Amino acid sequence: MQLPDYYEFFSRSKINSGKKAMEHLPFELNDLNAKKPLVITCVNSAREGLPEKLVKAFYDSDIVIGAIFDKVGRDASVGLVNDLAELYAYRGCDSIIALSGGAVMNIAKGVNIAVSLKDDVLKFSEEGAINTPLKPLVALPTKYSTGLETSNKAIIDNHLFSSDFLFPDLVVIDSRLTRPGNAETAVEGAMIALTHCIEANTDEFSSPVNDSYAYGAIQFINENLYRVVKKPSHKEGSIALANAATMASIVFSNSPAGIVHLLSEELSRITGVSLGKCMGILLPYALEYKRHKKQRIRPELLLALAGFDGYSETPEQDRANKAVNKIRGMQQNLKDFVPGSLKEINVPLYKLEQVAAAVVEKSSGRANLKECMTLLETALEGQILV
Amino acid sequence: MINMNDYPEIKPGISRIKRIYASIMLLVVGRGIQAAAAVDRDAKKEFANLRDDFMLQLSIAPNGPYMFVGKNEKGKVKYMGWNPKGKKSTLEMRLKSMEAATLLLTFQEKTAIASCNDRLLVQGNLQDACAVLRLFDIVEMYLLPKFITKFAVKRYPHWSQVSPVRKHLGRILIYLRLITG
Repeated sequence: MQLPDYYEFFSRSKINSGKKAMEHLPFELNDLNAKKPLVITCVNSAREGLPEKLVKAFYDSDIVIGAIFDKVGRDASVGLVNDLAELYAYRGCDSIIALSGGAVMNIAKGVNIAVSLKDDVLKFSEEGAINTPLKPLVALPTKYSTGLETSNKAIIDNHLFSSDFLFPDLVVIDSRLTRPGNAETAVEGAMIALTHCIEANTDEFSSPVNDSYAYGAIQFINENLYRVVKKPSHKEGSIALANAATMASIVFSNSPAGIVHLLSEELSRITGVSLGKCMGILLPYALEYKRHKKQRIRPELLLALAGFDGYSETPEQDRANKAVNKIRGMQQNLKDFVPGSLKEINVPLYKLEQVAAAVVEKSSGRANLKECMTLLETALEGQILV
Repeated sequence: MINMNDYPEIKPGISRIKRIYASIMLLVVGRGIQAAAAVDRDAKKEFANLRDDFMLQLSIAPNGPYMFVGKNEKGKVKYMGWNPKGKKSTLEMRLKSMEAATLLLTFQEKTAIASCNDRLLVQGNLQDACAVLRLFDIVEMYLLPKFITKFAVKRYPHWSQVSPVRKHLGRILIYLRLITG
C-alpha cells in the first residue's frame, strides 16, 4: 500500500445496502430533516414498477411524497432541470430522491443546485462555484449506471458540474431495485466502475483510502460479474455490482480522470457507442501500453483480481504483468458484450484524431496527443502490446 | 414545460395487517417479560441488575405501536401497557420501521442480527439494552417451540443450561401468567 506525503479523501454519502434497505428511507429522511421528497426516475424504471416499490417502502411512515416524475430519458437537459425545480417548489418539497442512475442522477443533482441556490443552474458549472450545502439528496441506484451517480460530479447539457456538495447524502442499495438486470447493462456498468478504479489505483498519487475503495470494487466485479452475466437475476451478484459502482464513483471523485475515461467519454460522444463499451475496449490497451512503456502498475492490483491464493503464488516481479493479463482475459471472456477492438465498432481513423484532439484540449495539457493517438491506434487494430 | 397535475402528491398508506400483528406481538412480549421475571431465575437475575426505576419502551418508528415494561414502586416487574402518555422510560428501543419490526417479530431475523443490521435504535444505557436482548431470548425460548426459537435467538440453550423439566414447567407457568396477568 502506498502512502503519499500528503493526501485528501472525501465522501459525504452514507451507504445503506442490503435486505429491506429501502424501508430505512423514512427514518433516514427524518434524520436529514426531510418530510416531503420529490422522486425523479426514468421511463425504464417506471416500466419495471420501481416507483411502486418505493412508495410501499414509505408505508406506515409520516413521509408524504411530493411527486414522482418518471419521464426522464437518456440525456439530462437544463430545461428539464428547471421544470422539475418548479415542480419541487410548487409542491413544497424539501428533499430529492433519484431512483435510477445515469441521466436521472444528473437531473436530480441539477434540480438540487437550482432549488438550493435559487439561480440559473449553468452559472454553477465552474469549479468551486457551489460552496454551500444543498438540499438532502438520496440516490437509489438501479441496474443502469454511468459511473457518476454517487460521485461529486454531474453532466447536464454537456456541462460538467463538480463540487463536494453534489455527493448524495444517502445511497440506498436494495436488490429489489438492482434486479432483474440484463447482462449487457451489467457489463457496461462494471466496465465503467473497473476503469475508474484501475485508473485511480495506477495514479502515482493515489491515497490508501481511495485504494481501499478501489480494491473492494474491483474484487466485487471480479467475483460477481460472470455470475450476473450468466444469470441476470442473481441477487447477491447484482447487489455486489451495485456496491462496486457506488464505491467506484467515490473513487472517481477522489482522483483525476484518467486517459481511458477521457478518451472513452469523447469516443462515446462522437460515435454514439455506450461509455461502458468504449471503456471496456480501451482499458486493456491502456494497461498494456503502460506496461510496454515500463510505467509502474501496482502489483496489489493482482490481489483484487486473483485473490490471496493467486497473488501469493505469483512471484513479486510478475504480479503487475499478471494483473494486466487478467484484465485482457476479462475482456476476451466478455467478447459478446465488449468488442475486442475499435475496428469491430466501425470507428474510422479520422474520428480518432478528433477524439485525441478533444481530449488534449479538455485535459488542459495533462494528456499527450502522441500517447492518445498511439493508444487509439493500437485499440483500432486490436494490437496487443507485450 | 411539464403539467404539474400529471404528477400528484402521494400519501403512502399503512399496512393494517402488519400493524395489528405487531401490536399483538408487543403485548405478548411485554406480558411474557412480566411472567418470565416471576418464574425464571435467569430473568430474575437480569432484572435484579437493572436500576430500581427501570422502564423499557419498545416501539416502532414513527408512531408506534408501543410496549412498556419496567419495575413498579414495589420493585416488581410489570407490563405497563401500550400508551406512552405519562410514562418516563429509562431505556428506549425503537425499531426503525414497520418492515424492520415485521422481520423481527416474524423471526425472519434474529434479535442479534436485527441489531447488527441497524434495524434497532437504542437510547439509554447500553448494558441495560444488552440485558433486554437476553431477556427477549429467554422469553422466546419459553413461549415458542424450538424449531421457531432457533430462528429468533442467537443460540438455543443446551439442555445442560436449561433442563427440559425447567423449560416445560416454566413454559406452563409463563403461559398461565400471560393469560391471567
